Amino acid sequence: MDASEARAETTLALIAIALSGLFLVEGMKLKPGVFEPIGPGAVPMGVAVVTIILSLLVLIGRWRASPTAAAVGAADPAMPERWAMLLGVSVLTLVYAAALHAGAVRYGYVTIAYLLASFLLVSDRVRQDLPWAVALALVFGMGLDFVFRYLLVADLP
Amino acid sequence: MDLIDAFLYLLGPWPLFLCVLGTALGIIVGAIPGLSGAMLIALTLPLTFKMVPEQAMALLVSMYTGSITGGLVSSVLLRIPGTPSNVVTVFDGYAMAQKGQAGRALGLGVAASFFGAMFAWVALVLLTKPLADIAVRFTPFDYFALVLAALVLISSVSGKSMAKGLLAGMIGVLLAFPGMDDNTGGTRFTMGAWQLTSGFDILPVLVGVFGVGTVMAELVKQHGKTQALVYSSSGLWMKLSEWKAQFWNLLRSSAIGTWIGILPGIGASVGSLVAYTVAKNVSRTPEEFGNGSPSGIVASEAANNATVGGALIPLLAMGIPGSVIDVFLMGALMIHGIQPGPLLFEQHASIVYVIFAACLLSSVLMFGQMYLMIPFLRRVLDVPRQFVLPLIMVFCVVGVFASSNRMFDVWIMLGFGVIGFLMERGGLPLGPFVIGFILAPIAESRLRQGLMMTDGSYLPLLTQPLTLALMIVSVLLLFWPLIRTLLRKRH
Repeated sequence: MDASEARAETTLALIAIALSGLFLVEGMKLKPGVFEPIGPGAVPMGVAVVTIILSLLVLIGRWRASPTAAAVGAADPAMPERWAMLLGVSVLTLVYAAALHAGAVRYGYVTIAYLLASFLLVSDRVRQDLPWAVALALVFGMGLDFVFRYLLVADLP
Repeated sequence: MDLIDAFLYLLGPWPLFLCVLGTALGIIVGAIPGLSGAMLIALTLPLTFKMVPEQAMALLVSMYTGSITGGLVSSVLLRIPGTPSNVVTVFDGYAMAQKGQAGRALGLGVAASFFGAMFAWVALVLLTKPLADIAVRFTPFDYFALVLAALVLISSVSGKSMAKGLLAGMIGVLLAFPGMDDNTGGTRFTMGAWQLTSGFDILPVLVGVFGVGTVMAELVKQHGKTQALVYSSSGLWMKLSEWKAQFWNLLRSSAIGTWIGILPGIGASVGSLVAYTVAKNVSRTPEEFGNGSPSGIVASEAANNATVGGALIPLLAMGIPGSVIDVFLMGALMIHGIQPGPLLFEQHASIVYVIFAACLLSSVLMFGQMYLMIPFLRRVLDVPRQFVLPLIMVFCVVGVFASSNRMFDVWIMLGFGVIGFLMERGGLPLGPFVIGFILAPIAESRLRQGLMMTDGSYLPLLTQPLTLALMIVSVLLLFWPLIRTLLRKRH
């Protein structure tokens, strides 16, 4: 397991603890059932407690793991991971969803812009891929707009 | 509608087209490393809303069958398993391809896949109804114990660490609780968001975890240029002598795959691994395994395809998904207002028979289509990732929006995408998460129902034979790593 995977594991365990804490607090506010013995909060609170215990086990396991063990599975330096690309596409996707949510621009146009930007961001050979990127963005952007709007007669964002 | 009617129905132009399309898409997606049948089915779910349930299930079951087999091609030609269920096929498939026997390796794989699928189909047809008849008599405590056993079972076999498997399952269970409580009619854990009154919808969760999460994981990876081997179609059709030589291996591996498919929550990857290990252990030439043994490919492929039919048995008979993809099929049925389980035969018999028929028809189609598509699939493997990944993201967004007309669900999907990505990076298996998410409401409602019947007494968990047996299985599975360590120390 490399450092980024260890970080993901730790982050997830911490998120699980926070989520379980939230469920415990909310569960305590629930009134017990009138006709049933345990009420609506008992099972979720029980699951939250088990989740906290398991998260702590995972965290302890991570802290006890020796540094050499982490280094053995480290990522291949010849194949660096592309975190900047993931961040870029994630930001683009959030902007895309926000633009669709706002509803100011037609779905097809927003999708063309998103696809074009994403294709070029992910591409390793921008100049060679540009004609394909434009063609595919146009076909899928307008195609999906047409299919959902006129064939499936479904609402679009 | 009986089984014959279901076949006749599927042979109509539109249902047949859906089966052909579903199988072909499944094969293509299965062949592309990084993309999985689960993701394809998740993306297709919104498109099935406007179909009648029979057609929707025909399409989805065909995709399921195709996706399990498609991964064979990249396993043999690229040394990259197209899906997790083809991991073991790589050992001998690629070795055979290196020896110039790629065609023979693919031919063995396709024929074994077909045999495994046929074997499991017979089991599906023969076992589902009797099992459903037994399941009708289950008490609420039996159901609770069954779901608990399923969760522990999948957590114990998914991934390397049981704690991580269980944690993934528990996170899924927790996230199933927000929304309306069926017993009291009140809302809970919505954190004040009225959009969560009906809880997290199945679709944004599944598409987020398997669609968006997979795209994010693939974006981070730097893919080196993979060199496909020189392909020779020689030996693509399995000879009669090879059928005879592999007969017991085919039979044994198919039986193992079917049985592992029936076990709740465990899918094709475990099935193929167990069948491969058994085939190696009973072989007179175990040293050939891993160096291009035809028996290795046959065992792996027969078993992983047999799990498809096997996994449908608990889904249809008891409403417990036999694998992760069965969670999607269960979701598709629930979206159409159909609850899988023992009453399915009484209330929606036509759906059951169409699923049976689709399972057989798609296996036959898969057999034919694989032979036709192998030359084409070699080219599909070269499709640049930069074009595929953003397109998948667009399909995720439009599919989830179209299912509910709410942008809120798109945001939920993106949130679950991040969770799916973190889980994949952190080594937490996705299987227990989705099984936990889908089974938690059943387990909770059955437990509370049972406790109402017994005035709050938990004693039936220990006094009812089936419940007790399932509870013992759960406890044994839970403490198995500890028991194993103690046993090893003693020896």
